Amino acid sequence: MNAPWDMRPPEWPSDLAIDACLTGEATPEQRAAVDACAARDPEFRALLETRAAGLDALTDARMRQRLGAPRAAGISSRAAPRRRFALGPGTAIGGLAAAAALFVSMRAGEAPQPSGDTVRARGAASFHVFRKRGEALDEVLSGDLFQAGDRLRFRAKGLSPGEYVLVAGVERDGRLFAYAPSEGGAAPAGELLDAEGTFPGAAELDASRGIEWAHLVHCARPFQLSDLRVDAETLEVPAGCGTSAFRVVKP
Amino acid sequence: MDPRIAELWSRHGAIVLRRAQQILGQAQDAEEAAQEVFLRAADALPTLEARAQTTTWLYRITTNLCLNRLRDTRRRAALESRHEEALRPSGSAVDPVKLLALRRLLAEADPAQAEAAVLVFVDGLSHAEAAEVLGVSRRTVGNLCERFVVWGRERLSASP
Repeated sequence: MNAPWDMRPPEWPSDLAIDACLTGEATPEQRAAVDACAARDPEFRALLETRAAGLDALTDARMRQRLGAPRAAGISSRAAPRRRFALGPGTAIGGLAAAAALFVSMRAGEAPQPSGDTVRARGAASFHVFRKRGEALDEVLSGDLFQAGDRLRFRAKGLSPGEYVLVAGVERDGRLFAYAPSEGGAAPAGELLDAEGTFPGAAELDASRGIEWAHLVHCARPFQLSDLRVDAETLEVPAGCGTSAFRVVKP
Repeated sequence: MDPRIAELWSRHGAIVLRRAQQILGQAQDAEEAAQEVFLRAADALPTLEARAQTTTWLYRITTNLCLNRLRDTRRRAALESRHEEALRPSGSAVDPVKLLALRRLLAEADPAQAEAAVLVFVDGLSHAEAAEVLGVSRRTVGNLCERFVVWGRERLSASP
């Protein structure tokens, strides 16, 4: 038998480098090593994706229970690389027709219930996120792996038409921005969303790395993005509002 | 529970759990070890928040706690009888059969050598990376690994 200490492909970056990339803590050297290996080695690329998907193991309820961790969305408060958010052309088109056209391949009522690590507060609407990559449009789970250029579409189910709604994004450093409506003011669901509950427009992800969050926030009364607060690990919303969180992992 | 620990778990829980499972080879042991890691993290939050790389700190704590478990005589006995644990944990870069053999060595090795061996041989850290995790020099890491290999060869050749 070969020596047991020769157990890894020697040309692969260390697990520490991989994990640092996944948590957004990588040094430029670690990032470069991981990127270079992923570019040349499909097996390593597959491992990287498996490892990133493994972040969703956090849905392990038993472990959360053991730790007594609250089932609230985690939000980084540490300094982190900048995140740039760009609205895709879909936003310019806006409106229900554009949203409906994008989702033409999905049957009405087909969207599954929230899964993955989506965190839905009591009384909150269900929050669905769709990723358009190239020509493919798929519903994605919280904690899925994303890359620069992916375009996100959002859908909320279970809202009453008079409820005010917006999707807020939280960058790794805790900064808030508006995914939709991009102006940052919540709009009545009955006016903003199409019959399926889909938000108009799409958001294109930039090249920043790490874990970010998208929060569906809905309230009976009008509210603005500026009414929301990121307080260390939680998104604070006005009293009586509902929230659902979705984790965006960009290794 | 401090919400900062919840956040730490959210960001690093899967990483710690995967490493613990890789070192220990058993899911329940790994969960218990991961739980202990985050309880330790709760006590060390001020230190942790001052660090640029939380991952590095978690690597060291996870390694120590898992090696302690491997050394536990009852677990060692179980390890000897658990051939199915050679199955490769999801997302692992290592050869599962070799990992099983290495686990047995780690359970008996000098603690400092075992710590360096996990980081370098299992996690694939460079000596520089391992030195940073362990807080020692690269030369020390090299020496520890070299001594582990020499000891391991003798141990394997002495095995029936």
